[in-house]
Amino acid sequence: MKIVLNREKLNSFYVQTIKDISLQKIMSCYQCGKCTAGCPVADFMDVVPNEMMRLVMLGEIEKLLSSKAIWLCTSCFQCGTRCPKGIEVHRVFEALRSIALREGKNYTDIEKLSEDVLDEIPQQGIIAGFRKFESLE
Amino acid sequence: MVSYPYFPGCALSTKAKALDICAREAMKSLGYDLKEIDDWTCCGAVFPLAEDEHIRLVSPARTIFKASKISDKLVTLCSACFNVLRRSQKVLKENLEKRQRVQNYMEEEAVENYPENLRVIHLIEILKDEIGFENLTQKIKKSLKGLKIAPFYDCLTFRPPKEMEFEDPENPRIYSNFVTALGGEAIDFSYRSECCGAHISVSNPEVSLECSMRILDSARRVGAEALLTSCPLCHYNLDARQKEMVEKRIDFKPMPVFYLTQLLGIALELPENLLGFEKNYVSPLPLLKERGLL
Amino acid sequence: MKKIGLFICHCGSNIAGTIDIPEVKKFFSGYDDIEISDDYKYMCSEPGQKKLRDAIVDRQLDGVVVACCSPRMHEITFRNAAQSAGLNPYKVEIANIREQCSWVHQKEKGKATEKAIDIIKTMIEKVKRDEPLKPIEFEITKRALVIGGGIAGITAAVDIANAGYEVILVERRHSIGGKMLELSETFPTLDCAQCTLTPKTVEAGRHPKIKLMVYSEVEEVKGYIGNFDIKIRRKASFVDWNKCTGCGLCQEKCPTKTESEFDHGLGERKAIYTLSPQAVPNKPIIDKNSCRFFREGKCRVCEKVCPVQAINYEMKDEIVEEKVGAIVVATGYEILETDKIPEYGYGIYKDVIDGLQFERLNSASGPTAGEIRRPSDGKIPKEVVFIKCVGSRDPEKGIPYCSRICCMYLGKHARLYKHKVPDGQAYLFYMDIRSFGKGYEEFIQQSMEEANLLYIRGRVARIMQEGDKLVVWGVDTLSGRKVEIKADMVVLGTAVLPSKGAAELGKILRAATDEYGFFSEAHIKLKPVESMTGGIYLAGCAQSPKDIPDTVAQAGAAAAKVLSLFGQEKMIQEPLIACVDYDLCSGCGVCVVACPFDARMLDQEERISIVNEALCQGCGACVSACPNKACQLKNASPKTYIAMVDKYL
Ligand SMILES: Cc1cc2nc3c(=O)[nH]c(=O)nc-3n(C[C@H](O)[C@H](O)[C@H](O)COP(=O)(O)OP(=O)(O)OC[C@H]3O[C@@H](n4cnc5c(N)ncnc54)[C@H](O)[C@@H]3O)c2cc1C
Ligand code: SF4
Ligand code: SF4
Ligand code: SF4
Ligand code: SF4
Ligand code: SF4
Repeated sequence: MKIVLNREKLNSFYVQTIKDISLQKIMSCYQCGKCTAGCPVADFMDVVPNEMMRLVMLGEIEKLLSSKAIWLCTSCFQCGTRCPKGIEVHRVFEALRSIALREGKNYTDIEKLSEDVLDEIPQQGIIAGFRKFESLE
Repeated sequence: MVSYPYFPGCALSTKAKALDICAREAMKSLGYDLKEIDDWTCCGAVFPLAEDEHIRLVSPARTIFKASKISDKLVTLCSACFNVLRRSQKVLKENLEKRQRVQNYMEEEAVENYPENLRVIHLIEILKDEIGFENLTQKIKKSLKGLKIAPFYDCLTFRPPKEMEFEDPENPRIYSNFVTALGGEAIDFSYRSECCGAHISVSNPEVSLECSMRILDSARRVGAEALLTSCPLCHYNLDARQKEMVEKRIDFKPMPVFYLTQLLGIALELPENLLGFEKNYVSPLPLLKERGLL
Repeated sequence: MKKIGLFICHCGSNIAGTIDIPEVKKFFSGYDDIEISDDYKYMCSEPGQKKLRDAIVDRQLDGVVVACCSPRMHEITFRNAAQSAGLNPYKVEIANIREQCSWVHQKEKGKATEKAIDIIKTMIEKVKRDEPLKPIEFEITKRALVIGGGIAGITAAVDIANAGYEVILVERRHSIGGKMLELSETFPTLDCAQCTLTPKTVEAGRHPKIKLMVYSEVEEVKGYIGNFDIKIRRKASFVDWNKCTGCGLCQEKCPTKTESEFDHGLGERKAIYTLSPQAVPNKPIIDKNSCRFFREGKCRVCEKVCPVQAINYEMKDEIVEEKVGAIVVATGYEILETDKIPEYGYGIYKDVIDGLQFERLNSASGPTAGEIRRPSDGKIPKEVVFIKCVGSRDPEKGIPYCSRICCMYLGKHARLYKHKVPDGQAYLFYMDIRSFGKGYEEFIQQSMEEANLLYIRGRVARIMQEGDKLVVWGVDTLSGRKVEIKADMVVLGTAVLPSKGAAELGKILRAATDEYGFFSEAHIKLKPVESMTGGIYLAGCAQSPKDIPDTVAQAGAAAAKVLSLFGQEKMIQEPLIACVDYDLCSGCGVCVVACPFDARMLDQEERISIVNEALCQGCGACVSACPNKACQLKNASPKTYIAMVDKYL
């Protein structure tokens, strides 16, 4: 499917919000893919980290908000640690998650979690997995 | 006896008690009194990555204030707490605007009296920098000789390096040196600093299972008998979830995963009931008994 | 009453678009001392200059003000025009009403016109007081110094020497040839590097006009364009090269082996050694740090075997003084040590090597006699990964610029590898393929097709050792997938940096270097081989990363610059320099300390300070330092400036 580009789209409210929340210089991305190359979960993502960066550049935000990838990111910070341009890719992922959550898009369904898991998994995991409830404020 | 304020955090107070109990006991026998901060609140577990989420810095700021009344160091042990508190301290120290915002939710005078000098440290830093690994070797009662331990370098302790200012995550040595200091054989393995899948165990358990299995496989390939970690979430993924790994792959051989402090406890000959092995899904007891370490 | 001519330039609409020129012209007709006030569309054009020349002759002008662009652009044009009409050129001044007025005040036209009038007024005051001056002439020492004996330095030296001038070629290592000596075959023609280089090194070595000083470094540089005084340290080689015949017996018998820098750690050399079999000059040195005699006090084997008693353990460094008129800096480059990129495990994993190491592996005179065998176990690697932009284009861990040669040499390496290991596979990770030179794109395309090279667009995140394989984690951004390759060997195309000590040498030469340590050119487009300092020229990678064709071209250009300097009978220098009012000078010597060009000294007998006209650059440091107002700049005395300011106020 073709992508239609124009000024409004490239500077949309979404794009601006991502820049504001993440504080990252999106347009300085080389598209070198080093972020993807080291990402532990890229194999499972529908949109890999450098593609995510590219789609933000192109203003294709809806596609990202409905992607699985933003919820797969583990916040391991590999991408940001190695980016030659010093872009903290993980913050861009977080910005996308924040927007999705603030729009009430849920990803994790707490009802589906088994008692066993809830019993065993340390609190930090549960909080991180459910950070949406906090973010809704 | 040196006394430091200590922040155990939620996990160590409950599900990862094993990491906590032997930490206190072991440190006591090394001359350090870890004093739990009164009335502490959860650090938030996740450092706020969104620029506009100021409220999440309030709890870390409070903890830092409390600690600063007692000492210029705050000791943590859980990787998540360490990550959140260390990064929060850095940002609050360097970013006056953030500090101002956080002030709105605090009783203490965060703007003027902010404890800039307080250092959030990881327990391993006491062992490495204050006691020294060489001296530690002198102090232990039992050498872990012959035990092949693969130290796992979790994400949160080392990354992002510019904020954590800990050790280069591309070539970390600290836990290997620790294992060597205890007399064990440290095994470097390829996946030693790859992510275990962390919290996506909640939303995408199959994916994190894959991540964790790769780590265990990699350690196994180079002859490790056990893993070492200091992160409760890694421990959950790497230890508790071996239950699922065994089910998934018939040839999967379970491998015990030690907490940092459990190894220290063994070397210092703490009583077995303080080592918290009942919290390990894959029991390390057979291995330890076989080596005459228990 | 003076007769001054004023000429106002429109500069098309650059000036006329903002400044009301008829108004200005009108203001100055009949103004004190103004004989003629005229204007023209382009004063710098031939008709414009003719206007000026005619007016000088017809009206017998004794001074001219041209109101136009910056004096940097056309001061020289109008001064020459005036001279040809018989007016002393130093009686011509520029009133800059473009850069300093029309360009910056485009939105305030009325005020701009007023300002232009003020600027012109002050310059009229200056012209009124200007003295006629004569350019200063002095002798040129027609010998050149070339620093660095790589292909750049050799080319420049040979070109200058062939024109009949003496050249001193100073090289830090004990053979000339530079990095090219280490290369195997070169793109884009894949000809043998040695075969192209050795005729050049031999020529430089034998040339009667070239004085080779290898194993030497420049330690001090004084003086200025045309007349430099140089001190060169010739390091102790512990071998008397006048006696040594280069027989090689000492190298053969020396019992001490150590890592060879020339083979980049892949091979060994002796404690007494020549750099390579093709070394020029073919004379050995003793490396004090590894030699058994220097370390333990025992051995002296080389002394015993040398048939001509050339070994001298007592030899000391020597300082040689030389006078030259021009200097070519050709100190070349270094490649980034990749411990800065630890995720690639360089230095830890033996089979992760850099480009120069690959050149040595592929070289017939290298440690594997030209067979591609990996360092760890000598096996022939069947899966080889080449990674581009390692440390280059990486502002976080390396440098932000593009190193310019690695795209080409890695393409070359992959192709050479396939020549030698036809059943092997080469993978190249790239961000962009930069193949800008003549025949370069064709070379890359041909390599892809013929050698079946797989170019993968993406950077590598990490390399890990698993057994005897190197697991490479990369990405193919074109398909959006992570890529994993179990490689036998990895070659890194690491960043090109200035050679070690370049910035320090820059300080010694008083020639500027940039933030990385590359020598800065005077103008990136128009003066690419001149340094910012007169008489010092740049060649090769000392200025910026480049390949051999560009290096040789630049070296030729630098030589041409030296020759055009030497072609002049005498050095001509602007007379706008310091002078001393001897009635006021107390001989305190403050100016001597203040002068950054060593142009001032005290006449002990007369107890006054004098100016060395060849060295003075007219910077004015002494003028502001002199407590007695005895130091002045010619045609820029305090009195003149006060009169100019007065007029403005
Ligand atoms: C792996 C690799 C492969 C390459 N392959 C090719 C190729 O196939 N084709 C091609 O066109 N280009 C190739 N190049 C580029 C080529 O090496 C350079 O273009 C060329 O060597 C530049 O020559 P130079 O004289 O400027 O610098 P250098 O070769 O570096 O020579 C500089 C000399 O100056 C000396 N020196 C340094 N500092 C001082 C000092 N202070 N005092 C005295 N002496 C000093 C050094 O010892 C050295 O001898 C390759 C480069 C690399 C890294
Ligand atoms: S590593 Fe950085 S520059 Fe490269 S694609 Fe990812 S975000 Fe862009
Ligand atoms: S932080 Fe997220 S996107 Fe970045 S490497 Fe880790 S999992 Fe991948
Ligand atoms: S003294 Fe001995 S070790 Fe030293 S260079 Fe001569 S032979 Fe070699
Ligand atoms: S043995 Fe003597 S003559 Fe022969 S190369 Fe060595 S120093 Fe020169
Ligand atoms: S020449 Fe090619 S490999 Fe080298 S830095 Fe430039 S783009 Fe990268």
